[in-house]
Amino acid sequence: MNPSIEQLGDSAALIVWRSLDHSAAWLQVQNAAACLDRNRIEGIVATAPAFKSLTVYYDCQILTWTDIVKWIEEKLPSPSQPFQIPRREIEIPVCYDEEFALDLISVASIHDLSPDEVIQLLSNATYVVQMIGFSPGFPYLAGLPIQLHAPRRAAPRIQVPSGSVAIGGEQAGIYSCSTPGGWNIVGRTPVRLFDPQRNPPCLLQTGDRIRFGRMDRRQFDDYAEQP
Amino acid sequence: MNRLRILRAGLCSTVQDLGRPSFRDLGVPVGGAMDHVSHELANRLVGNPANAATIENTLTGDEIEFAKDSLIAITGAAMTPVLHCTGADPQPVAQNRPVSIPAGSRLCLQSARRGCRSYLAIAGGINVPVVLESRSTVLHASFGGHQGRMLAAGDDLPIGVLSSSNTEVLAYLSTLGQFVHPRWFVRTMDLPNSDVATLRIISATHTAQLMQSARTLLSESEFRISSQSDRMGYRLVDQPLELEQRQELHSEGAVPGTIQLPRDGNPILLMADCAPTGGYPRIGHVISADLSLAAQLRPGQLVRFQMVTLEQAQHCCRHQQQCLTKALAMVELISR
Repeated sequence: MNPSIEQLGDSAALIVWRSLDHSAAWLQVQNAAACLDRNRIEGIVATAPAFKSLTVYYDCQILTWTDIVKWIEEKLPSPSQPFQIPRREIEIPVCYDEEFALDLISVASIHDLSPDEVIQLLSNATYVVQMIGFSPGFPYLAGLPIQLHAPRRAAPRIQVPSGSVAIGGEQAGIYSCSTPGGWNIVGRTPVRLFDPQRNPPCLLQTGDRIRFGRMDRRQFDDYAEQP
Repeated sequence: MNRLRILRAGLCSTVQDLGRPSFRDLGVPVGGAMDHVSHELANRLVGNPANAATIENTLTGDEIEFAKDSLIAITGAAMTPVLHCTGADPQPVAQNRPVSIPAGSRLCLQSARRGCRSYLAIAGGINVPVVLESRSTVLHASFGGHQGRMLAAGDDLPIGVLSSSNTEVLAYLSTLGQFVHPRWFVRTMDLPNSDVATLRIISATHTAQLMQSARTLLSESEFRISSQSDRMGYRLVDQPLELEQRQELHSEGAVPGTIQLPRDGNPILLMADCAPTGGYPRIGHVISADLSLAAQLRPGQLVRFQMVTLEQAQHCCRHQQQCLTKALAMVELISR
């Protein structure tokens, strides 16, 4: 199925696979992102994959809309083209100390679970990074067990501490920076997901498989003190 | 190395350049100067490249002390800058032209009389470390610029080494004698006054899904910029809009200029520091050529939107750059 190509302002094009289901669309996005990135021409500024869409940013001083649509249509891989997503497996240690796990009890109560059962379920699952977005390095994670789905908080917090592991609807995520946020916070990792001085700056990339390890408060503090 | 010291900081003063256009796949905002036109003009007036870092002042300005003789230009919002030199009466500093500043003097920028954001360029550029290919400050992620934060009293900012085009401008100013700035000035954009401002927009994915009445409101009525407005976006109030059908969206791409419609119906105009993705319906995009004007609007001000085509938007964008290039060619002719 061919995606639609829509104008996103005067300097970006949105390629979107609206009619495909989530996982089929996601694969097309990854494939298209890799393919278009390999075939960049002058005037293409950046590409950014999302769940069911890929944004191509261009310089409208150099390329017109006709140019950009032509380039996308020419370079877009055929939907049947086999595609392997590079997969890495990464464990993220999480501390569920009550100082960090601000919403652990409320998430547990939604499904009549004990906090420890929530932690067990979180730790036994494997997650896939669907996209990086919202704030620098923030991973949207698919694979949250259905028993842990929890609606976003009615009023977002003004400041969610960086490293907070959180549940928003059917997704999990990790706040990579201190930002406002409405997801339910169940723990915190001392691992830095985004460090602009590091190369690459993001620890995680789309397609990575994630597991949550468990650490106690002392291990957290020791880890956090490492330079 | 030359330095400048912030003696008093304005409401939201940050170091900015042209931002980080190529890291959006990491969730990093484009950022950079909100008003690109004024930022670039300030730089070019002192002989800097367009991408050199400047200081962006918002609504109220900084007080700055210069350690050595310096060459500066102030553009954008009219902040009534005054120069205090030792042994001389305070003198007003004209904007939109190069100004030479003697060592030890203090520059005071006041509240903006017109417009919202001013840009102070200094020959050599503000030489804070480059992070992800840019010196721009990302406030909400606390990196870039000066220690990833707003400027504060006591901050010392390093200045880069002068290039030959910087020294050419200095040589030109010295031919004018003791007077610190020329009589001419460059203006490429009219600052908004207190009237209703008009921003041109092009349609977006969900524009056609607005209720008929909302579509009329979007093109005919006035929206007020709420006080909940910053470098990430402006909340537009007084005219809530409705979609024919409420929809749950997956996060999709967003750009500075995108007008999002959250559930309460009050549109949000995304600005330079917006996230590269957003989950709200998009009902329009302010054209790139009008983002500098948008950056000069203040909370409380009224805006209306005028629909144009994509071709017109891209034409305006090229035209804006051509005007700036032409103006700067004239400057070069006079001052080098």
